[in-house]
Amino acid sequence: MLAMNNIGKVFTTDVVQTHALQDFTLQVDEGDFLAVTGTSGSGKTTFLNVAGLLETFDSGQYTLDGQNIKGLNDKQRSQLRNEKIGFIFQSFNLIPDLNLFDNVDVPLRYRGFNGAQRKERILQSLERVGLGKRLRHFPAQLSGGQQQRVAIARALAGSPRFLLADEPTGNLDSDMAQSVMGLLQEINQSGTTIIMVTHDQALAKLAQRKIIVRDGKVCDIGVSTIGLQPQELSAPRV
Amino acid sequence: MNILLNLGPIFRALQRQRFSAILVIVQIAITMAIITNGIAISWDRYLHIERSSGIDEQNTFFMTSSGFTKDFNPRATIELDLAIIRSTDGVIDALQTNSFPLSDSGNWYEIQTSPQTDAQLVPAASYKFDEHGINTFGLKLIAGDNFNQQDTLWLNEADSQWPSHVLLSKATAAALFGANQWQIAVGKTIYVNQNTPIIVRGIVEQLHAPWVDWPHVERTIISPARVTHNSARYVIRTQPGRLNEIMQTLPMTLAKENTQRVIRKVKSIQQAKDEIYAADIATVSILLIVIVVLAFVTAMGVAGLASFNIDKRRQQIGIRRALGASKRQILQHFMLENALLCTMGALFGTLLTLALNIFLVNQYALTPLPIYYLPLGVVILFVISQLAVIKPACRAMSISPAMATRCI
Repeated sequence: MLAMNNIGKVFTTDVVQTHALQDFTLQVDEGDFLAVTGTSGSGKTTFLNVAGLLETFDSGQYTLDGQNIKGLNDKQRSQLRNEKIGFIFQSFNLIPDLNLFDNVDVPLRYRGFNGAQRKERILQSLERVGLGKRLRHFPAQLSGGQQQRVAIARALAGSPRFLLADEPTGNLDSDMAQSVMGLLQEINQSGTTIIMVTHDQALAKLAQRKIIVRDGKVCDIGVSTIGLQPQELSAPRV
Repeated sequence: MNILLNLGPIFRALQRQRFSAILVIVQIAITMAIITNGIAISWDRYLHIERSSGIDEQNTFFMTSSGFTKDFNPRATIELDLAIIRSTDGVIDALQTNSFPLSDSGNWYEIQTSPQTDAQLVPAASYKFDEHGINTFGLKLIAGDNFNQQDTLWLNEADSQWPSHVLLSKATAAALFGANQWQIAVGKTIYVNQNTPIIVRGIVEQLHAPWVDWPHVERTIISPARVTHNSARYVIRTQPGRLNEIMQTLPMTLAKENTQRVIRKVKSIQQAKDEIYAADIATVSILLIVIVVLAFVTAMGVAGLASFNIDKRRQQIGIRRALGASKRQILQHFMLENALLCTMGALFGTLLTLALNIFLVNQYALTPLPIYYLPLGVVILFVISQLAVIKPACRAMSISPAMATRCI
């Protein structure tokens, strides 16, 4: 479903070249819940950006849902991103000037749904994350956990095949983190493929599979303890 | 996707950024009020300057012959001068007159259709010249007949005698007999100085009074007369393209012919027009400069504020890109946002434009703003504002979607 073969990504400045990804090879199947871990600067976020079509790559092959990504123009990449991928960001990335309804509406408008379709999807997805009664609230009026739930609702509203999460609990306290992880697991169980980038090993254990990225390469692939519940996370979170 | 469907969320988002939105709206409204009124005033002045005086302005010049000796004979000099001028190669015709359009000097009389004191008085500028006037000024006789050579009277300066026949401009005939009945003036008796009867011989389509700002500038009365005075004004019409040449040679020819006078004030009608409208031309020029500068400053203001807002929302733009917005959709978003602000500014600006115009009309007796200037002002401001925001919007669309995952 998502296949990366020998992906390379180089950032070049006037004085230095940084190989963010080197021979990065990964296969993700439909329904997977993959945790991507690694230290800071290991290439996790670059992987996420490339996987989510937020950035281009310099070498290798990348196939997403059967479509070869190499050679797609910006418009095609935007359309693919909009239709097949949902994003959850560490800092929620809601648009502060829009209320919850309009925030969830953003990707749906780019998708070209009509008003009735959009409304139905927005209400459903906000109900799903437990915020169906706060449509007219603005992000600043919500807690961090609630904001992340809105971000999840926004990601889910377009019924994406993939959910890419970048440190989704990084800005949350442990209770809220557990709640959000529970939600992600539930989403995964309903069939959505999730790739979660985290530096937190305890969180990574909640995924079905995890990979460790080091120096821009996949250096370890393992299967997590399936069935571990978010409530069982013992380490206090920062 | 119908881009107008995005107006709702953009409008709601703008309500959360009231200060910068209001700044743009106020700037556009004020600019619209000043630019629209400025354009209207400029155009009004331009039409005032460019209107026809009824004569062939491009090929006509005038000069003054001033006798300075005791035995100077004005009448003989005028007759000889006119004979010389009319026979000069390149001259179409010439006359001696008390005044002419754009000269800014002359006199006017009140004329009426009956001798009663309570009859309606119609002010009209008075010209005195012979039957060559129609040809010299290039006037169009639209009713009746021209004067004959025998009609011309020789008058002294203090002489109050009037010839038996006159020509009227169409506007004078219309003022006397009604706008739709001006033709009936021919053959009718009118009265000057309340009780001096004169018969209307003919009507010319247009001949302006000497004073360009006179409210009755279209109203003139022409009597076949020559005033004998030491100083005589000649008006000469040349063949097209020969004006400058004849303006140089003819005064010298006349000066040599009679050494008891000097030829002075040789000037083309176009030069006289430029001088008389100098203040209007300056007003139009200054207004146009103000309009251009203001439009530029407004464009810079809109562009600056758009740039500031885009810089402030770089991550937000990255998020939109990450969520699937194409570059074109980001460009459309900012153009639409600006169009919305501009529309609100134009609505407010329409009211402000009318208010400013009412003030100007009351204070300075200007012409009320024709209603079609309002949509014109809206279009101008819309174009300026949209052009100003193109560059910042292009910068916005070049922001990478990866910006969404970067901490700023």
